[in-house]
Amino acid sequence: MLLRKFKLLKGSARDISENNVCDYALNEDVALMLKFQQGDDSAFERLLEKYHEQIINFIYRYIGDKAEAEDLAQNVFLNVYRSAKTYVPKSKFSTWIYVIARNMALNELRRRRNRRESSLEETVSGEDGDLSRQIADNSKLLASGALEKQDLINAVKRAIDSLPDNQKTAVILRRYENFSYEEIARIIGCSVSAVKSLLSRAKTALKEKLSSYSQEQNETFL
Amino acid sequence: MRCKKVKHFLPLFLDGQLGENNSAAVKTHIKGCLICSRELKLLEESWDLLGKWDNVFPSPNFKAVFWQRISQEEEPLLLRKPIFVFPRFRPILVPALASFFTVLIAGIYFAGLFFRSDIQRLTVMTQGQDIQMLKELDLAEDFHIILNMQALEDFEVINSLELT
Repeated sequence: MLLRKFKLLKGSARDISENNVCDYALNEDVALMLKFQQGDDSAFERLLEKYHEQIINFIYRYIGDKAEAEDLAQNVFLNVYRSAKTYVPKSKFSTWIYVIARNMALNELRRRRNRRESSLEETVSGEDGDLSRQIADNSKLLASGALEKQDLINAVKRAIDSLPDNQKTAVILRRYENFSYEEIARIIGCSVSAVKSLLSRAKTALKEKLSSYSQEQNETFL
Repeated sequence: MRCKKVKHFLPLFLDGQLGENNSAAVKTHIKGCLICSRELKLLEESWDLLGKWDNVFPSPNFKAVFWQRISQEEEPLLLRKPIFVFPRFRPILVPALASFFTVLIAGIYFAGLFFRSDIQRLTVMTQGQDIQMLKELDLAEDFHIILNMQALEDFEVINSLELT
């Protein structure tokens, strides 16, 4: 009886996965990827053209450094290029590539955290000195308006950076990439209700961190 | 609806992810509650502030660098192409193949032994027949002259000619 139930479940799961493969095969990006699989390099060129800016910016929100974000984005596309032979359209291409990009960005963040922890004392003194020097230099170069904007951007960066990894991913995908809750759930690998919870907590935390800037904005507007 | 519950719902309300009933309840509450309406405004503003962090533009040579890296990766692979690649076997086949080759080698060895002994026996038999035949012909003392059967046959032909 149990075995029959298991077989039925297994069969239905296979049906679902086969249907999904058929559904996603109709997707334009998936079709390009399948063309590339058959040896058409121009199909990959089109995917690169379409996604490179989005992926660079997505990684940039994690890392905060454009040059490193570009380097990691290169690795993301290399990964996609290499795994083309084994590619099976089980999900949207965008979901797949964002999962790869997210994993790379998070690995880089973890590597940085470990490095920072191992040389904490050194960096604290060094960063302080650098930061004060940078601010002094910036104040000379930038006009007050531009400096205020830069200050605000830094506050936003710090606020996003302070979020836990999953909340950060959810915020970046929702705010900057305009992904739906369902797509975010697929990329993170959790349920839609978990995404709702992640975004709720992230929004509350961001409000706490940026409320001073919002009030200032209110005052200037008033 | 109480303020605590409304505050809990506000982030989802802001994103339009709240159900119809809850959404209507939150709307009604906000109209009459200054604290909650201020909370909603702060949430909205902080979410908008994230938009101040602009996108970056990729370097113009990003794609060129990518294709260069691809060609650099592919070149050594082409150079390092092996002349002979030993075929990979599934682990399950290894014992079967090992026993097959053992039987094959043993078979070749024993077959070799059998054929060699058969050839030796044949040679000995041939030599024995020859001696007997020569003895019968009274040519045993000239055996060292007759080295093969061909010469013996020739001799027999000559002998028969002489007789006739």
